[in-house]
Amino acid sequence: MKKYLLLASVALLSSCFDIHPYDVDVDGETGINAKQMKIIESRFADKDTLRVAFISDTHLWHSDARDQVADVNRRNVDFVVHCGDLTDTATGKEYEWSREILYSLKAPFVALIGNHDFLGTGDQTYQVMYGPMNFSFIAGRVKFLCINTNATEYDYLAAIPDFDYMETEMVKDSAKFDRTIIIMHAPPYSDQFNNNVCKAFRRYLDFFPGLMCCVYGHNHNDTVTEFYNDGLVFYGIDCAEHRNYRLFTITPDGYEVEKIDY
Amino acid sequence: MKWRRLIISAITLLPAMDMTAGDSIAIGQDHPESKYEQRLQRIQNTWASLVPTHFVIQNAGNMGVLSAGIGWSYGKRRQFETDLMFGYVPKHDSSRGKLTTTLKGNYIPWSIDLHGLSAKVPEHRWHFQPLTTSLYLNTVYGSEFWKSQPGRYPDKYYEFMSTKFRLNLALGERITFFIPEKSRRRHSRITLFYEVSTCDLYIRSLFQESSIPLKDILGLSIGLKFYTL
Repeated sequence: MKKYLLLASVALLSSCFDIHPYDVDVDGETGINAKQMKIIESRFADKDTLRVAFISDTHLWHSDARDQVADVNRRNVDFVVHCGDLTDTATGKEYEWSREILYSLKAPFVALIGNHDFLGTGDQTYQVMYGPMNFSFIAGRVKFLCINTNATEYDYLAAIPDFDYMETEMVKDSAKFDRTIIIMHAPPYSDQFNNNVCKAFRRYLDFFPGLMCCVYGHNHNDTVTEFYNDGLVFYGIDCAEHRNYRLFTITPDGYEVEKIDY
Repeated sequence: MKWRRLIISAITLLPAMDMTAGDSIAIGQDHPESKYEQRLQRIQNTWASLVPTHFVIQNAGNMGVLSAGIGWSYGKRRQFETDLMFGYVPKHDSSRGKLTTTLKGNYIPWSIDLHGLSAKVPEHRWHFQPLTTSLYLNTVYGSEFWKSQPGRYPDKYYEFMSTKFRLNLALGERITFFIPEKSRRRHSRITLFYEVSTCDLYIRSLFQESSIPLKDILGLSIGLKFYTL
């Protein structure tokens, strides 16, 4: 008993010593996306109708983000996708704050990395806390492909977007899905996207079975647009400060999108 | 790995270093006669003022797990201090450990003699400083961190910050033990202090989101100062 008390007090004391804002010392839950995707896939693998909430760019608007979570919790949502910018300056504390808010969601959730989440050693913190920056999961026979498009953060030196990863995902588990939704933080033609490959990126998307639409964040406004004027719709999710998000209802015949103000 | 061992041993050795430079201050204190001697004394006094007056070692404070360095105390009542410190941020879950450098200014407005005016004790050994205020600039080394945003970003993209430099604020208290003159070897007094600090990024976050609890952005730090002069 005494031993535990000592350990607890040491832990408490060490938690009030701040080593550095960018020290990448993650306490608590790590590898979140993998754990949450496991829950999503086991619960909704063959579900006919899916209700998916897309939120984005919560930055430091914690009060708005909490209201948003409360609103999502009231709406019988199957799972939630955060389209990136979980933080504003990517400090370890900010990552912990946004994680705490996301964990008050009743539904399982995954989170993409946004450009702000890269600052300092933020990308390393993201990888410990959430996992790989490209990931995918299947629910209701729809593949949700989440890809890192923050090329400017790498000075365009890295394979962003990663076409090799996309090639793998086109065929991986092909028996388990018939349709695809592509999710990213920064959309094509934005200041973060590698705009030299915008058209190549678009061509790659056509290889995905039953491509439905794309969802992105980053721009801090609610937008429905066709970047390529070819029928492929891109849904831009607003930031938390503007207090709205989008709710997708996916059925075997198609999908409906609703803008929710809260 | 070797690097880390080297750094830790260098930091732990710092307070053990002997300060002999203080002896040279006494030279030329007799009434100087010639212009040459006057000038010599002036030069010596100038250089003597650059001799560090103390060593400092402290943990945390957004400077690393442990920082150590030298410092200068000045002012009529020694109420001002400047410290230059080097710290180490362990690897934890990142790609490697990192070094930091800190330039710190302290202001200590009051020092209370804990023996009061008592004549019973021959030497007033214990003094208490009920408030210290500090402002310090910390820089962390590594290619991940930039002084101001690199050219690849549009203008004023991350307008608010540098990821490399952090401005910190701290408030604290100290207790000082004056070593009796007979038993002085290396140091004349030793100070134990604590500080509660925060940095510019956290203060900024508080302005952006008032619901952030103050305790989340404050950190504790404990340290020792060994005064030679």
